[in-house]
This record gives sequence, structure tokens and C-alpha cells, in this order.
Amino acid sequence: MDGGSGGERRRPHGTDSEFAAFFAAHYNELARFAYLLIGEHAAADDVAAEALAEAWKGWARVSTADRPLAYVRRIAANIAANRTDRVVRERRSWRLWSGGRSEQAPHPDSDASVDLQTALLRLPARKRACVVLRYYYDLSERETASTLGISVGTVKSQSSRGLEELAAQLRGSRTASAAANGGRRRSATEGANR
Amino acid sequence: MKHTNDSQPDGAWLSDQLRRQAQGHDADLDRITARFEHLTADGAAPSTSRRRVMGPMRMRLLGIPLGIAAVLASATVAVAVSVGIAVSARPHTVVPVTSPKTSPSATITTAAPPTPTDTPTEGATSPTAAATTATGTGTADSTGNLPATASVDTHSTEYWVQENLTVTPTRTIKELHITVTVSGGTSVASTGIWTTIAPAELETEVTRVPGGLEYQVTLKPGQSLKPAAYRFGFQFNRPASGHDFALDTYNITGTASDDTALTASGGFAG
Repeated sequence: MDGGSGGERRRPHGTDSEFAAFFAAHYNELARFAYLLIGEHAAADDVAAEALAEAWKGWARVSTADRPLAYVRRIAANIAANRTDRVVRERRSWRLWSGGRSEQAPHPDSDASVDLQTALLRLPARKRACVVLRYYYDLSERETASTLGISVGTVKSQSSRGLEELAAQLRGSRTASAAANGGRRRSATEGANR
Repeated sequence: MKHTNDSQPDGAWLSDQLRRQAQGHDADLDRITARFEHLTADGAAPSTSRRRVMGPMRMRLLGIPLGIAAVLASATVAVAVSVGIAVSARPHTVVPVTSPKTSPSATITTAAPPTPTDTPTEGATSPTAAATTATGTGTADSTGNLPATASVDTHSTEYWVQENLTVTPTRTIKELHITVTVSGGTSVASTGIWTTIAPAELETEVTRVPGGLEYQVTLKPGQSLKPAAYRFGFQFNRPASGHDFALDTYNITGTASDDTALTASGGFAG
């Protein structure tokens, strides 16, 4: 860990070769993962970079984990969740400040044509992460649970609701309001979620 | 309750779409490398004691706990404080205002009465087990008749802070309202609230106030809390130039099921 300095390829400054290999193998995949979670190209790269930086700082542990990549994905999911939540919160408190009328929603709720990315971003962070891990990576419920550090039951309910809500939104992109009933109502009960 | 319609996208369809979507992003290696190097520049070498990698895990990913294993174990015995492994062996003690130490495993869970249904993940276990090295920043005194402890989480960095608050009612309470005020004016930005109480039982709100941030947590009407330790983490970004923890305060008011009025207040700086 103390800098095996056999630098043949461009490696992030200050890291060792084992980490450099990990970095090289996974940065793109992590950035894509982050992109699905956060919906912006530059921000996705930043999330990947931050997750990798965290991984490097704890590399002694991460590298000996059963599945280092799962671990780093979790970090990335957390960072992405934090970022999207912050946006939501800032928007919310701004709305309070401005007496209730605020625009600036990055994902206008009344948009007539909803694409997948938009629909995805409307899901709460946890649900979104579940959906992406389950359906993008094809992880099992158990793997998803262990990646995110949550229970299998939560993964089950979150990903099936997530799917349902996405379906409703996408289907409803023409008939906007029909979508609100299916997935949404249910999630409203636990909607303190966010 | 089921809401079916003809052309409902299914899992296979979604997988396909997500892959297509992801293909739309090609990572910019230079950008990532630059940011990575920037982030790792100062602390440079990985350190086993800093546990910074656990950083994100304390976040409310989703309102979920990640140091689960240790935390669950300790929460079940209702240890009052933010329990680390080192201090977790105090079955059923209601620790009053004074004691604790912050612990890095003060990761906060959302599930109310924790049941260890989930097997620990590799992420949760090993790093948490290493948690005992942390030295708390001390715990601040509290005044009032509701036992509470507050501290600055040891995982806080020069950019990001979590202030921990543990409330340990000794009897069932039916009303609870917590206000946390974070100083720093516009230089601080909330990154959220965590709690061990199920999100559905709470209303939370963060607002920007002239002095900084104000976090509000209110137990929803009709909910009650049994005697146990309930943890909260109030998180925010701060400027590296400094943050005056001594100005960050909390104020708690509540009502016990027998209508006794409960209060606690204090600061986070130890």
C-alpha cells in the first residue's frame, strides 16, 4: 500500500498499483451508475471520483472486503443520494422563503412527455438505487440489499414499487394524471421518505 | 390495489432501457482523475484509522443505516448513547445526560425497533468493527428533564459535519419536537437528517435562517416513542475555513404519556 512505484500506465497520482487497477477497471462503470442515479454527466463523473477517493482513503479495508466493487457502489449511491437530496431540500427551503412559488424545478412535475431519466429522478433516492441495481446490474435482491446495506424486504418493496411508479409515469406521460394514482399514492404513506 | 394496464413496462424492458440510458454517459477520465487527485491530495495515503471511507455510509442513504450490525446490536439493548463497540455492552442502562462518547458507528438507522433481520454486509461489518479507534469530540452537557446527549460526529471533516443528538426518554412520550440550529450563515448547507425513528413517524424540515440552518423534527400526532435511545444526525456542509461548533444548539420539547412536560437543550461542542 505504500506506493509500489512501477508506473507503467497513467495512474491517479499518489495511489498504488492495485488501486490504480481498480480505478481503471471501474471508473467508467461507476460513472454510468452515478449517471443513472443523478442524471447529469458532469455530476456523475464527480460522484464517481468522490466514491473512488473515499475508496482509496479506506483502501486497506475496501480492498479486503468480499466485494470491493459493491462497497464502492454503495459509497457512490450514498453520495448521489446526498446530492439529489440536497437539491430537493434546497429547492424546498427556497420555496418556503419565496412564499410558496418557486420554479426552478429541474424535473418539472407537469411535464407532458416524461422520459425514463426524468421518471427515474422523481423516485426517492433509495428507490432509485434499488431499481438501478436490480434492473441495470441485474443484481439479485440479496445482492442489492447487501450493496446498499439495507434489508432484502426493503429492496423487494422498493424495487417493485419503483418499477410500478416508473411504469405509471412513463405510461402516464400522455395522460399525465392517471399516473399519479398507482405508485404514488402508496408511496405517499411512507412519503416522509423525503 | 394492483394497478395494471396493458402496456406496463416490465423488468426486462426496464433493464434494457437503463442500459441504453447508461450507454449515454461516457466518463471523462481526465475530469475524474483530476477530481480524485484533488480529493485525495491532502490526506494522501489511505489511513486505517480515519475510516473516512465509511463517510458516505452514515449518510441517510435513503435514510438507511449502514453500520447496521453494530448499531442494531447495541440499539436493541437500548443503550443510551451513540454506541460504539467499545461501549455497547451496557444492557438496558438508561444513560443520563452525561456519559457518552461519540462513536463512528453512530450510524443511524431508520428502522425503529431494530430487528436484526439483515445479515451484515461486508461493507457494514468490517469497517464498523474497526470503529473503536475513534476519539469523540466530547459530548456537550444538556439541561432539562429529558435525557439527551449531543456531540459532533467523529466522521465529520473539514467540509462536512454530522451533529449527533441522542434522546433517551425514560418513559413513553407522545409528543416530541426538536429544533437544531446550526451557525454559519450562508456558508453552511444542509445535507440532511438521519434518525433511528421510522421516517413515516416524523416530520422533518430544514430551513435556511439568517444565522445558518434550522432543522426541525416533530413526532407526528398519534405516534409515540417508548423508552429507548433515539438517535438523530444533523448533517451539513461547512466551509473548510472553519465552523464554530460552539454556536450550534438544540432544543427539545416533548410530552410524556402522563402529560409531564419534557425539555432538553444544549449545544454540540463538547
